[in-house]
Amino acid sequence: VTKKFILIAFQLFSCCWIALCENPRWRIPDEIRIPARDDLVVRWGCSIEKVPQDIWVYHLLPHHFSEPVVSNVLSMCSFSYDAEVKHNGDALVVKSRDGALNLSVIVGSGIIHYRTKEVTYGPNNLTKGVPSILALPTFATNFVRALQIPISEVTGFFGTDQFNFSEPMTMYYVGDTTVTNVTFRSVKFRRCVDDIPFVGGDSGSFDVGANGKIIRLDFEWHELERRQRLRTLSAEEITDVLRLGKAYQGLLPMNGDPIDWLTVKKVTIKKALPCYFSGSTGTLFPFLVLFTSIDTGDAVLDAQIECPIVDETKMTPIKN
Amino acid sequence: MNYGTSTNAASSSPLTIRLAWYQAARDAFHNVPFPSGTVINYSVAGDNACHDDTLQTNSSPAGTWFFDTQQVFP
Repeated sequence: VTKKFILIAFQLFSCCWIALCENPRWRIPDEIRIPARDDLVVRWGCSIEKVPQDIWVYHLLPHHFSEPVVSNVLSMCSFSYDAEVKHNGDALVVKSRDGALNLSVIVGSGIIHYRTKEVTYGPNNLTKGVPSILALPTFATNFVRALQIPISEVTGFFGTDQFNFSEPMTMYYVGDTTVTNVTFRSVKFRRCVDDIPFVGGDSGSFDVGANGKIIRLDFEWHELERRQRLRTLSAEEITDVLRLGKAYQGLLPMNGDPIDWLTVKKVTIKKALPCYFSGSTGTLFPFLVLFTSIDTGDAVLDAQIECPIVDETKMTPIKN
Repeated sequence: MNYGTSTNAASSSPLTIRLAWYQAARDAFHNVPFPSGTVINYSVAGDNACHDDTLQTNSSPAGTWFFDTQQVFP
């Protein structure tokens, strides 16, 4: 019986491990695997010096919000003292008496969602008191402080920014007149650790609407536990990874032709950016994004290539 | 959560069709690795009277128009 158990356990482990090696966790379903090609010409047009020599794989653990943080969130979301509060396991659900404000805080998981009933606006009823884009950095900084998140772990989406700001716009065409309304402005950010950004995982966003009030909030943040430190691949090893068919082509604009990788003339790497991805798993996986120019023979296209940043066969098996 | 994504229909307020379009895109792109700083905007155009239609409630078109756009990623 023991031998059988060991055999089954070994087979199960092998299946999981093969699945991980064949289909890396950081890959999204629509990405195309670049076929193996020994003769693929790869040129490095940038330095790989900014890629650290070692990189950590992290475990994601629950993030417990402290009482002051929950109190700050209730205050930011404009709840009054007569709000209806319910505890459901480790979830805290708060509703205003009129049902217009709804907050859920998963205290043990580091998740916050807040929604408000949509206010109907129109050409004769425009939104008033929405803070300008210039005022949003202060809102963003105060928000991060209120949640007791180190500002050093917050980054934007463009490499140089810390927060992303945007605004929706509604245009009403009334007779010969166009009336424009901005109902809210948004702040979005994502997490970084060891100066490496998350591209799928912990992040935060909120909308500030009429009279400077937060009208929507989504936030997810985990505790991180270092799990395994691995050496990152050299430029030569990354070139080999591309030739061995272990890399994936990122999404291309829909108005362009697909890339026929078997006839590509040359790939020039312009930038190499280490990133982390967790998705809905309990592990934070590092991977490498290559910003490339691809000479297809007919045209030169800019495309992203995603590939391993470490020898993934050396990663310890994942439980989830 | 309330507002269109709750399974408890008795206590939820359905999203308008317009907002469901945006929310669906935000949810779909939430965990997609777009590290290059890709910005994705979605838009809706329609009759002013139908701006806040839901699947259950709708209004007759009034003949005036709106155009609405929102950033859904990041």
